[in-house]
Amino acid sequence: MSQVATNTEQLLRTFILENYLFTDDESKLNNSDSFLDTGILDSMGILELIYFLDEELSIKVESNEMIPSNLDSIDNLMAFIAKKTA
Amino acid sequence: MSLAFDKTLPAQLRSIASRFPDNVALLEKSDNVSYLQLEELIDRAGSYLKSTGVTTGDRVAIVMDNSIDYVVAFYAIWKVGGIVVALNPLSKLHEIEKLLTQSGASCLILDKASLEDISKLKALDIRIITRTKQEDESITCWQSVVEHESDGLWFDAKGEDLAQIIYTSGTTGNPKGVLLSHANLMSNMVDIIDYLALTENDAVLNVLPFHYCYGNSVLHTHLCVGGKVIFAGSMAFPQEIVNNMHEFKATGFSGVPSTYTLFLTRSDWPQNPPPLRYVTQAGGPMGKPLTEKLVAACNQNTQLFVMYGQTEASARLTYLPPKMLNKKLGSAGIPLNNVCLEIRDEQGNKLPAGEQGEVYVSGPSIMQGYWQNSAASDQVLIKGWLKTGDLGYLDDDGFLFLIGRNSDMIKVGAHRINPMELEEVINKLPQIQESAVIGIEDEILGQKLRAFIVGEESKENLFALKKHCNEYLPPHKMPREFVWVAALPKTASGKIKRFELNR
Repeated sequence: MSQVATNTEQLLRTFILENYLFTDDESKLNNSDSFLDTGILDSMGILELIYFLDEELSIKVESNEMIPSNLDSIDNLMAFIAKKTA
Repeated sequence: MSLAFDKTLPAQLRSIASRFPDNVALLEKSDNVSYLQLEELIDRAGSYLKSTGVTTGDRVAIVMDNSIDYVVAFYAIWKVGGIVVALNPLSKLHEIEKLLTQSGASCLILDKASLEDISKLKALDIRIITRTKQEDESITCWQSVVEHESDGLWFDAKGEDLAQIIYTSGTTGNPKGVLLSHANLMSNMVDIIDYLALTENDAVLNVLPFHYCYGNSVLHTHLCVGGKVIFAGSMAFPQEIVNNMHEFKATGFSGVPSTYTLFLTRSDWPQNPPPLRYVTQAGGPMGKPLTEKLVAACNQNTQLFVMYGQTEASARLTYLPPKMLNKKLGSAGIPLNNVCLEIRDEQGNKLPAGEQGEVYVSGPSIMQGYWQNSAASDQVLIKGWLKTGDLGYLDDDGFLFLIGRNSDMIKVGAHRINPMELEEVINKLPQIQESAVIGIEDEILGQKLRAFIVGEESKENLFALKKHCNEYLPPHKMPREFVWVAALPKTASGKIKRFELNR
């Protein structure tokens, strides 16, 4: 993984850990955890995540891209971001 | 095709199962059940409940996400004459424990629970059934419930028999259990079926939680006519929901204002409107601009029904006939067939058209009262009328226009939230002196929660506060913003002046 990707992943993990799991314990979040199935995020949380992607990473999520396979875990987000920035 | 209705929902379901046995009743992902299969599953599950001693008048709690199993559990409780207590599955354990105790439930059916949760729930001396298999042998697995031998015996409920308790946020922070009889529910469902003109050919794509009265009414109205209820995914992914409307050829959809904001801004609905026959909106007023945008974005054949109701009235009180939408834009519509509605002043005197006052309603759908809370019941049930707490006026044509609520309740998306409940939780944290929660305008949700905190501002305290809230509050009750203040504005008697915080 490139340094940029590593930094992006850490940024996303920190956003989720601090704002939704209220911890800095990295072990509380697996990259494959589904945000919705595990209850980490609800529909409001997904919207906040989309604003975060736009504001912090300049990734604009189009309507047709708002699907679980793009947004529902750190792994999915990283694959989505890689595709958007390729 | 017109239908004659039975006097209770379980009796009606059996009539429909006999009339349309092969119609798909429920569709959950790739899993579906016909009316005949549904009746059989209910028969088995109910027989199991009866074998454990559940009987007439017993309260049985359901803590489950929307699913086929939820519906089976719900009607199985009615099969044995029990009273359904469906609770929010997003609730934290301490909230569920409180409501189980308050309702006196003898049995609990839930999706899943951790070992720790199970041990706490067992302390309540309640029979527990879970959808996931537990190592603890005293916990019954749902699979064995629906495989139980059926006895074919259905309790012959009367209209006046108690059917359901739905908990709503109380004005003092303590939830109140709205007690509904079979006649209450049936009357309201028949009225809704009438104005929506529902038939066995309808298929509703549902995102509303069934434990709230709106979702409850969507479920039962469609089952009453032999229609199909399709379980949609989360509104976190609105495009998927719209795709499902197309894929499953849904004829109907019900949502709250924020649902439609999401569809219009986060899906291709405006470019590719789904071929729905009807769209309903309730759960808080929808502004005129959003209503106009939604109408413009709908398929030409799609009718939009703006509606208003309360849990205390089973669900629905008024609807705006679609053909009157333009002429009466902003109105909540006219009373349902079986609802009488008046506007009254503070002394309870009826007001003429055009004058603003409180909305009072009466009719067979009005609740029996609040469960074991006669003081609260007496405050709102007055000589056969329900004092709704909503403020509004009737125009010269008898159309209702709502102008606000006579309370501090906050509406976030589909959720009605009492700020005092949140303040109680926040104030338990030792480093917080006091707090006040208000609803502020939100583009998508209508309102979102802002908490004003009196205490020492620091990153550590904010972190501790968020963690504390997360521990005690479900996601929809989590304040989205925290504002540190030196003091809260108060009246001479010490009451928080929320309107000043709203400025």
